[in-house]
Amino acid sequence: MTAGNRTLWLLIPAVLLIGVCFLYPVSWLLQRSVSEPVWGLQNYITIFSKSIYLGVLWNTIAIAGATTILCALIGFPVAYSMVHARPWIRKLLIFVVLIPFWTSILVRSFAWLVILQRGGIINDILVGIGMIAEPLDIVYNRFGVLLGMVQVLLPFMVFPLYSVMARIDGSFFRAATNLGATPIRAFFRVYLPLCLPGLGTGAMLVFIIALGYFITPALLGGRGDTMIAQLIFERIDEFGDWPLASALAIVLLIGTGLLFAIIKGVSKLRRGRI
Amino acid sequence: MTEPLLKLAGLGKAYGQVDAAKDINLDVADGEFVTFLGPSGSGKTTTLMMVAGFTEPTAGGISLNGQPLDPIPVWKRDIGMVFQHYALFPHMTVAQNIAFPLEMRGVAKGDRRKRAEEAMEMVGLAGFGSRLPKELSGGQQQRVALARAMVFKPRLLLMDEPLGALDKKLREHMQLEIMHLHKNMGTTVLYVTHDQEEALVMSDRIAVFSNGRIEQVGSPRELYEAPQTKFVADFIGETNFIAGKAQGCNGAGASVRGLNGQLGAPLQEGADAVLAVRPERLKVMNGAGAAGGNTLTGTVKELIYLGQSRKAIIALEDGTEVAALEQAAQAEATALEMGSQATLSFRAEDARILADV
Repeated sequence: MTAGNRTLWLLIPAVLLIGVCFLYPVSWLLQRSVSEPVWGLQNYITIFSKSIYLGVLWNTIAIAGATTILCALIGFPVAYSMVHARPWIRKLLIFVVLIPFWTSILVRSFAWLVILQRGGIINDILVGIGMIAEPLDIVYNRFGVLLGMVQVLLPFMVFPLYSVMARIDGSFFRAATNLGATPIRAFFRVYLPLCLPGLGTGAMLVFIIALGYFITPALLGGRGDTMIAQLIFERIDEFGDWPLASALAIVLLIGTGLLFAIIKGVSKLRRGRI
Repeated sequence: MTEPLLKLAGLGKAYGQVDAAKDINLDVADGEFVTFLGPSGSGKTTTLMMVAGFTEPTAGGISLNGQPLDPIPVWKRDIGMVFQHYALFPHMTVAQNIAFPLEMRGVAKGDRRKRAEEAMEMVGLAGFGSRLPKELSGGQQQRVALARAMVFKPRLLLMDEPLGALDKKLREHMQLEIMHLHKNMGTTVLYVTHDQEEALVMSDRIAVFSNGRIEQVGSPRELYEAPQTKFVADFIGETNFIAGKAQGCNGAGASVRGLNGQLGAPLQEGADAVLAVRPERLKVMNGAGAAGGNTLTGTVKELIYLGQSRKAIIALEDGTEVAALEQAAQAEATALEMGSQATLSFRAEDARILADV
């Protein structure tokens, strides 16, 4: 018997937890989604045929995608500065990036409301100094949702990137320039590809977490920014429509799983490429 | 003499109050293999980095082919470099790595592949093109780094302790390979190492660095046989030092404690000095022989068997320990014994009298 086999029993608590708290409820949802009101795929057909549901699915993907791209664009320079800053600045940056984790998401979303609404701080200041005549609509729309979500999810992008960047030896960049690459080409041809594992991990974390976001779009979004989690909540809370809500939840789960598999497959292909 | 390919003139790099390199003057001829030798922190790598363009000099200048290098950015210098840990791009195959400098120079794809293949053949790695660097051994990675640094036919090749990560056997093998490549390609090489044996084996000329300055520049033979400073005598090979005052300085020779030697550099009469003599230049006799010119008498303290030779450590009366090296056959004839008396003699032309600093 190998050491690996002998220590397998250490996994029992984790297996129990996943079994009871994840597999069981998911199979229960799956069963309800295909058995009510009668056995069949009617709930799924509804989801993929009615424009309201398709619209929400599209919203979910669009918002999660935009959040991921914004997190990458903002997170990359932050992670880079963290790696190359002096130690005390690095500590400060890590602290600043982590702050969102320490406050409740509800409190944070309400705080954004206070700042962004028509009578909020930003509009007051802009109107006060005469830059604009009318208050801007910067909340209860896509902009507000993205602002709130990017703020919350940024650490999930920054830390994987940081850990990868910190291990990239400076000599790679120096070697590239020595061999004739301008700094810009050295960045795109050498530095960025070496960051890809971190960027990929960060993007996957942000995108997948964003797919199931609920409170932020509910508080900061408008009518057109409904995401799938809100829809599930609404179907159950207002209509008691468990079968359709279950089907939506299963669609979300399978979609996430598919995406995960595709990203894995793509990164494998990349590795095998000559 | 023809115009040097590379000229370092009064080159210096100061970090605040600290001089990492100071007043570096050196001319390197086309096709020459010059080694920067010195302990860590002696300024040899700093100087190399200034030539590569990664470090900006705070004094003096560098010129290549008579043109000042200082205003030219790293990527336009056309100087190849082999990094200490190779710095092969881990996400590119061996062929892509080697073709990288050609790609950056806009060489067409087909031509690029052909030249990369030639370079791989040159370093004995034909057929390894589609491997990733991490799939190669240390020695193979070293060859890829060499091929990549030479494939674009740079005017100058810099090597920063390129063999430091390899084990002894492989290192010696790679030393020879690099020398052959240098001979065949005719590339001018600046090579940095802290390994004096490596420097002696490989170089046309060696510049010995200490405390940010060049102590002495010369052929391996000159540095070994005619060191100008105590540091050089000590750093290259093994040397015995006998300390005293310089006496009878006459331009070419002098004496220390009645022992005659040649002057390494001009010395003031009565200054603190050492007489330096190599262990293999000492003639060993059993017993306390006649006290003639240039002889030392002492007690045998240690006998070290080295296979082809034997080293005897002999303690003089004042406690100074002197090492003498004899070939195996000679050592058997001398037949020293532990604790017995021994007499050492040497010729004045084999000893150097150097300032004791």
